[in-house]
Amino acid sequence: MKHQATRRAVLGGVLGAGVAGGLLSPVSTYLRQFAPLSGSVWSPARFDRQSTVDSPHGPASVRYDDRGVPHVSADDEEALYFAVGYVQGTDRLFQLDLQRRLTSGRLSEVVGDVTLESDEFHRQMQFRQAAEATVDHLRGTAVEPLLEAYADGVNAAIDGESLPLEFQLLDYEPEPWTLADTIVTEKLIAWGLTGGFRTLRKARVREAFGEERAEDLFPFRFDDVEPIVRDHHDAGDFGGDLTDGVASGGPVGQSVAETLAAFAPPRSYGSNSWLVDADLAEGEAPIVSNDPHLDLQAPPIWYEMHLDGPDHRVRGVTFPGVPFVIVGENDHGAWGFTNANADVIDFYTYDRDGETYQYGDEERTFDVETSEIEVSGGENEDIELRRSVHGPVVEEADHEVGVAWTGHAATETTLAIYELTHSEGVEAAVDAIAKFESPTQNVVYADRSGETRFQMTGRIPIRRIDGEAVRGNQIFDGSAPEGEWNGFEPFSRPAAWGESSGTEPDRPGFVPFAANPHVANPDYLAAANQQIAPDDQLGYYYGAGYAPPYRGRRIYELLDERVASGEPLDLDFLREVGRDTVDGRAVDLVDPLVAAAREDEDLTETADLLADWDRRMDPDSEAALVFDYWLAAYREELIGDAYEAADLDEDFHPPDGALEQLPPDSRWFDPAGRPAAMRSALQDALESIDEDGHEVYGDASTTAAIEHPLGLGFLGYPDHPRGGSEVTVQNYNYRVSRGGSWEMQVDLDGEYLAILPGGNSGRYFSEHYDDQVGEWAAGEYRSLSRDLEGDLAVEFEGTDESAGDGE
Amino acid sequence: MRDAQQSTSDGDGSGQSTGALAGVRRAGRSLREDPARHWGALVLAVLVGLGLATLHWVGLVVGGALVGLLARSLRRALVGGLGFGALVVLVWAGSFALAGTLGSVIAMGQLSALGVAIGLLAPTLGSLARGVV
Repeated sequence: MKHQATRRAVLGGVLGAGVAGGLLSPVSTYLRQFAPLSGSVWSPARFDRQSTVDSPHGPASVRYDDRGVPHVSADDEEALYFAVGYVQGTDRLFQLDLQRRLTSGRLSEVVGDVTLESDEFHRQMQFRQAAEATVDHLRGTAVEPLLEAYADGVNAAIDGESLPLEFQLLDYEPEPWTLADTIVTEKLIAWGLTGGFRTLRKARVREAFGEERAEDLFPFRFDDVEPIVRDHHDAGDFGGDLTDGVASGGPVGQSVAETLAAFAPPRSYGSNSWLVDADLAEGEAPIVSNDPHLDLQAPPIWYEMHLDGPDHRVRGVTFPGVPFVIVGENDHGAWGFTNANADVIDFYTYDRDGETYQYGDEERTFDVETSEIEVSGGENEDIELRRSVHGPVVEEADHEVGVAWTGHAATETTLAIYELTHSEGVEAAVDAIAKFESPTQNVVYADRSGETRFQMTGRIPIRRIDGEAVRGNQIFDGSAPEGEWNGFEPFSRPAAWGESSGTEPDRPGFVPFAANPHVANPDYLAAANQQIAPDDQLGYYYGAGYAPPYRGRRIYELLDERVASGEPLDLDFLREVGRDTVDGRAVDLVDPLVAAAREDEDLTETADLLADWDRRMDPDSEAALVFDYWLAAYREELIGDAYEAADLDEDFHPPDGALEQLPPDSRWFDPAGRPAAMRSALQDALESIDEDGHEVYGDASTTAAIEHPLGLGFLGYPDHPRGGSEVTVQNYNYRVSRGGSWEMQVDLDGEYLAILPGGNSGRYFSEHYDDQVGEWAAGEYRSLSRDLEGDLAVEFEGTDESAGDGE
Repeated sequence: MRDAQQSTSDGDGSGQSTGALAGVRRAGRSLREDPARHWGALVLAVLVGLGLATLHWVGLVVGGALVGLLARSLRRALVGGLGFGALVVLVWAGSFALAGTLGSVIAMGQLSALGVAIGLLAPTLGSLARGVV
């Protein structure tokens, strides 16, 4: 009897403890998330979107086609963009939230202290405040009600649809979407394309290795460039009064440089675009191509949509969080963007005394405010946000640097994008592009009447020392003050950007838009981030760090050959151009590499393999694999030991192309010379290939490298071999997961081709989460419809409120 | 035979109890020993358990307990609880199959395995209730 009672007590205790433990201990979170049938993580797997939704902005409808692309139509523009907000809030909500948290410095709230340094950096840079200033400036413009409607749509999706898997895994709910969230997304993109700390990185490398060796690693210009604007465009002289004035700021200190370099945008963002006029295309209208090479991730950085509003129809892609199509086509024309690599950021050091700093003859006080970073599962942290007259001031270990960046001002880029989607020809498009203030971009545009335009956009600062215009690739003494941008005010609308403000018109603070490089109606033109025009044609300083010349050179080579042959530059031919995998580095380096390898009997077989290679980075190529591994080993051979001895990490590595272009007599080769370095790297490469068990390039270069930001393997993409490298026209760098993010070719008189590296849905359980990745890897395009397609999925019904608005 | 002896022993033990608990035990014994009532009660227990499990994970424990209480012995209760858990996992997987997402759920690896583990263990834990009454 006693035994039974004891047994009951024990079993009762186990049962009670199990239930109590499940309810009261940290295990309760996992049970709530993962229990079958009730677990929150599983609800997205049974997702079924609502078929009718109330819209305070009026009726609209959404169809989804067989690739998960929404086709949205409405007779009212606010109703249209409410629906756009709803579909983006349904399909990409976690991405929206992640981007705004990253840029606003609020990741640690949901993921804990692993992102604390990122939050500190993004708060110190005060992107959020810049977004809020931009929202204030956009009040009263045409886009304000549309941004409001879009935000309402996102919030309706947050309230009405089940949250995506990522929210369930991280166990939090998103806050309502705001206008500033849309604009901070634009600031994030702008920062990624025009932010960066090349000046500071080079200064650190100069401190470590001296001026000449630093110049080898960070060349002002690459060799063998085929510029975007060539002689045959008759571009002429773009004006300006640049001098060689030298700034006296710095040094900024290793800790500041390291802190900033760690969060610098990637150094190898690049893109392709080209224009071909109707005659060369042998059609009735021009062809426009655009392929932005950005970070590849799951889901993709772009979201495809087709919008049919009351007075415009537009199809293309946008960054989730932005209502308007950014790259695409409307009924009148098509357009695309490549990064101009303009230098729109400067750095300043100060004569400082505590909280004050010298500014000319004045003593000024830093604007300081305290910001609390909330940390999930940890202690919150207070940081100080500091500003000078130039912009945010980043401080580390008793050193500080002031940062002036055009993106910190109230910009009109949102208006530019909106107007571009409504443009009815090249003239309206150029008017719209003029407002595209940040990031600086090279735009290609063509309309159906046959007019085309290449136009560099953006506000380019003119730095002056003692009244003379100087280059911006140097650290300025902010107390002198030198390197000022006349009329620029961060976190507000700069007086210099107003239509009639024109402070000191004889000393403008920014390059006039009309002076930005542009070409009207070229026969054909290729922009691939290379140097825009020869320096002797440019009187202004635009930038110090263009992309290596390989892609631009190769595209022009292919187009030139075709033109010379008399064959048409039609879409069939341009497909082949878009899928070209010839690596310009291999073209330049394989011959000397083969010669060096033949000096070692053990490398003869590899030398033969490389000698017979067509220099194409194709998935089935053994030689491409060898070259890829060799290049990585060659870089390490050249700078690895020196960087380690100087305590410089990879954030200070030279830009792509610099090591490849080192001349044979460079100081970076030890006395044994370049052939010895090449041989040594080849031996290392062969060992690495053996260790990794690869046989052909496609074993290494696969889509498995494309991951989800959370790093969970199942959220990444399946494994498909993909050709191309970071310098080929068909672009993919599997080592850093970067490449063609929206490969688009539009024949305005024919097909509209495009492909996404993944799928259009960000919902893991959707069939459209990764349904394009295989085609993307294989180099295929989809043919996009210009008609609304798909089954009716969501009907937005106008509410009394919307009816009232309309009356 | 051993189960029957165990059941008898439990029945003897109930004589020590009084009031409501004794009533519950008598009702339980009746449900266990009358085949028709037993199967009816089992189906009801499974349906109630499944229903509760869609609302909260404790429903898994309750479902396992209800199934377990209908067993003649603790050992059979544990088997019943595990069986209920297996049914839960099947229903759960079936719901994904109907939604066309089963492959994606399986691809989640350790996370879906965690779901399976909870689905099997929680009802088994609940079935321990058989040994308490």
